[in-house]
Amino acid sequence: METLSHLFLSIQIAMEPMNLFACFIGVFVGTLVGVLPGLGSTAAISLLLPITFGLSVNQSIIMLAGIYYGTMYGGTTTSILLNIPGEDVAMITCLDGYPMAKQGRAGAALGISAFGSCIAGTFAVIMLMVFGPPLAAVALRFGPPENAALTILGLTLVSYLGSGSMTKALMMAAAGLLLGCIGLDLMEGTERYTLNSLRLREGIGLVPIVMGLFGVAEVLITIERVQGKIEIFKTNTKNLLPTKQDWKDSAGPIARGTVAGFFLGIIPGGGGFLASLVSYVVEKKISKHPEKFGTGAIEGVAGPETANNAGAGGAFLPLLTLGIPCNVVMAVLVGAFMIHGINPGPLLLVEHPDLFWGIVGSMYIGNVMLLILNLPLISIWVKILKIPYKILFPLIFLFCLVGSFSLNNSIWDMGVMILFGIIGYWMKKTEYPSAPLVMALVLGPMFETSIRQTLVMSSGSPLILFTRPLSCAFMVVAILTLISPLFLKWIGKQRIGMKMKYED
Amino acid sequence: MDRHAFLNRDFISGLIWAVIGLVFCAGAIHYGVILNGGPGPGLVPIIAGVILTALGLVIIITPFLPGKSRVEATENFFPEEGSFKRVFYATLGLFVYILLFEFLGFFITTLVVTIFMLRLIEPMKWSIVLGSALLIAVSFHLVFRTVLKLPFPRGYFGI
Repeated sequence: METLSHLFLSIQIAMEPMNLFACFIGVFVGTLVGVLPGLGSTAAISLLLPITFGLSVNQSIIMLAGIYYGTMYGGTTTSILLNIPGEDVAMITCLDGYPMAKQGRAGAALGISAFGSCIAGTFAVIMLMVFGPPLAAVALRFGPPENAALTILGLTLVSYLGSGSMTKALMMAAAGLLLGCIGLDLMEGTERYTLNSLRLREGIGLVPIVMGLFGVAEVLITIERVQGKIEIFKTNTKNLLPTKQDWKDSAGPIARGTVAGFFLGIIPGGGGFLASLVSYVVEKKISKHPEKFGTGAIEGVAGPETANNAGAGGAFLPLLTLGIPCNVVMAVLVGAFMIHGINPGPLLLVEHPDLFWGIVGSMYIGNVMLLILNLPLISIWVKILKIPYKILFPLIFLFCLVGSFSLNNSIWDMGVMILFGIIGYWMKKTEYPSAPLVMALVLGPMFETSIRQTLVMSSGSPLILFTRPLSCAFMVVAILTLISPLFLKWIGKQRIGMKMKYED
Repeated sequence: MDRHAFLNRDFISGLIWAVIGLVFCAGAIHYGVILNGGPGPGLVPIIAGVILTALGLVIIITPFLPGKSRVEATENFFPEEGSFKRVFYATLGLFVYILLFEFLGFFITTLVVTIFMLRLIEPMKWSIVLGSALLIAVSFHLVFRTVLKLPFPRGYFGI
């Protein structure tokens, strides 16, 4: 009964005209960003963050959230029509989506993706409504040890689940913590690493860093190579409504992708890509015709697309209830909350219930808008793809410059953004991931406050993290995550040794 | 020992991060890891600094361990002829933007730097360059100054 009343409240708030308009702008821009390769959701949200300053906090977060799940939809179009994923999460869709387009079934692929994504998004919203309040209530009982252990777990998982070397990911998490230490110490008021600069006393802002690492660096990487003309596969994009057989083949993958995607989206470092990858692997394994995967199997499109959208919705659960961002986009949203003077976390439901329920309600409406936008407007998105990158990239740079200046009307922020753009470029060349750095930068203050309070509580003994049940559980998972690569390597060596012994 | 290992990207990057970690550790000790019997402002910096330095050393040392081979980068740092030039001009354009921003103002700076980037990075015809740059500058002026009313500088020429 209470859930129903929350549902009505959320719809009521989301249907307010300005909130509705903000949602529409968010999903429209998100779809556009998802369609355009080279500009990800993280960069887009950080670029558009300054535009939201004049809006209320509800409208800002609704719009930015709309951009996020809108990019999930938009990335599908280029995956299917061009074999170029507009977003990383849409990479898996290329495997069967593009072959379907070559067989003249692009419409079916696009259609099932859109419907599956809508179903997944709606499921994610229902789960948010059901699990959000109880989880927030539990989190209110967390003390400093639980918060410290939770942030340690979050950072460890982000490093483990990211692509590439875990060593480098952990280094970037450490670097992010160090960046977060620049400025005034929150507990003692000591200036740290400020070099007597008034600017550095305020710390280094999250938004210019994100714009630099994900906006400028991405463009610099892309312009290294001369961009050829994009050849758009001419295919039948009419008949977007899936047939009965398409629905029959896709029903199972959609259901499985929805559930798995949501829970994988909650895990720090998990998110859309992991969700879509797991869905694809599972569907191929359980399929009666696994040989069809990679040649245009609709299950290979329906499952991953559903999973990545469910993951996008799931990612909001830890943010809105625990205040823990589980991916970089959520980390930027934390920045958006803080700009409006709000701390996301368990108190959000208590102090700002209209904000929480407004976001949830707007996600219902946003998913419906996306279904309406994506199906009829595909030909428009395809035309936009024809804009050459050599015209687009100065626009991206200008958005970054303008956006960073408008934060504080300061050239300093522009300089920080450019510096981190160069650093981000170098990091990409040397294969150091940026996501753990940003996550650590956002979680750093929470981690520092909670670990110092914990040590005061325990008179300096870190063992308190293992004596309280919940923090012990978080720490055990974090430690297992850290040692699992070494353990797996050891097992592999034992197996090779035994195999050689057997062959002898 | 292969001297080329020292020019390897992992070696150099590991070294840089390890030095950064050491610098932060030194600062952490200065601010005080333990203060008045409790955790001081240097606690988290020293934890993070030690992790960064230690893992940086792991990156440096790993290729030299017995049984380990140096991981070769799969391509040159600048993958194509002209890559360095494009990246350099793009970065230069960004710095020029912030240098001119307050002096020339938002509109003229946007116009000038857009022309610079469109012309130098992947050259196009002057008509396309000038037309696109003007369209972009006017659009940005309309959206950010007129509609959103963001207080961008007008510069020496008052535009």
